[in-house]
Amino acid sequence: MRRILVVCAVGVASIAVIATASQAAEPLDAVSIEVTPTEVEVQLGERIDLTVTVTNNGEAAVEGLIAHIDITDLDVSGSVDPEDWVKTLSRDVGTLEAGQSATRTWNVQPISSGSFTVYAVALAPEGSTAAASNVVTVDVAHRASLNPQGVLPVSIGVPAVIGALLLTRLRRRIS
Amino acid sequence: MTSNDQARSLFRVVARQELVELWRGPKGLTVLFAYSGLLAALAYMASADAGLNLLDARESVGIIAQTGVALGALTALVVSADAVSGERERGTLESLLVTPVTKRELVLGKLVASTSMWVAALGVAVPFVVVMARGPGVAIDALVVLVVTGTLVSAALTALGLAISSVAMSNRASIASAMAAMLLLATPSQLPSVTADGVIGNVLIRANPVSAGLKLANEVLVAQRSWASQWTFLLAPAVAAILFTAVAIAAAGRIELGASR
Repeated sequence: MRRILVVCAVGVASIAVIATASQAAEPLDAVSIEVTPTEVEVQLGERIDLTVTVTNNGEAAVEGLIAHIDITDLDVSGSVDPEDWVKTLSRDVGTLEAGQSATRTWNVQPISSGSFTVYAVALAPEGSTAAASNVVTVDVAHRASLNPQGVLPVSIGVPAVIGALLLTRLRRRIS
Repeated sequence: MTSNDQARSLFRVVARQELVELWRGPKGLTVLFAYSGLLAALAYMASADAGLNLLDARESVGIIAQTGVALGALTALVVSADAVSGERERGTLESLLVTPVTKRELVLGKLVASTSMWVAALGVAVPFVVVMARGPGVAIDALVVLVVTGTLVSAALTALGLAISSVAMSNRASIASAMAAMLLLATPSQLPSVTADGVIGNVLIRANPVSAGLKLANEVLVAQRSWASQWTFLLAPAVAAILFTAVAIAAAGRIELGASR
């Protein structure tokens, strides 16, 4: 019984320590991050440039900053895989002196239609979130072509010709 | 008429007879119809993705060229794997063996007929490749890949199928063994790039005719590498075509009646 109580006490103490530690990792108010444009309308397959600006609003330099973007579909509980849209999600920003800004541009290609949300975060060296950006709404309109690259006539024509020849042979065989 | 002339003429008779059987009957056209349907569906899907920029146009051509070669060779393999064991199973091999045609002439005639399956498959694949390659401007490269690589790969597989068919005692065993061999040969082309770029992966790909042929198609059409730097990928298909043809001719001597149904 005493052992169980000791184990429980150690568990509670551990949880308390972890909770205190996570509370200590407060966001750094000195750094702000913004993504432009804030609303984008594209057709499926088109590419868009999203510019992320990280600014150090504080009095001291901030070292080793990393900007990271993410894409989510709020309607379907974030089922988007951002790496399908963009090759590199994280970019090195480095050191920002007081008052200094840095911009990084992501060339993004939506791979499915719908309304999506893009946002960016600036990460501090120790991995705690420094700042989160505004939300960018990306509306992707579906675009369909019945004859992509002019291949439809061949895709229908070739099997149709062979199918017709085959039918003729089979009919001759039956008769 | 000398004995050589007579042998040539008998070989021609066998080849003509086999060609007529394959193309006047439904067998050849049925296989070709399935091949064209698969290629059509794949070409349409790849073009749709390329049209939306979701797939590089060169990549879509590479996919069609590789599939054209692999499936085209497979159609020839299936026909050749049925050539002797099928006759045995249908009970028609006995009547063939009592004719003045030697076993070697019989196999060579069947080899020509089975190879015609690839020629027909090539004819089907060409329009797809030409239409899709217009955009990225790789039509000539794609056609050379299809004709040269495809012909060497399918020649190797056709001879392999025929060799298996000559020694297999049942048609089912012959076709299953031929398909298994094809899958085994194609496997190295599916290796992850980390493994494929290593020494063992590289040897596995270059040493076998199917994966070397498919790799060449990818390197020339998708990665935009020159023929001069990639021609060595043709060595394995060329050597295999010669070697397997020799094996098929040698295996002709082992054709036996066996148990027919």
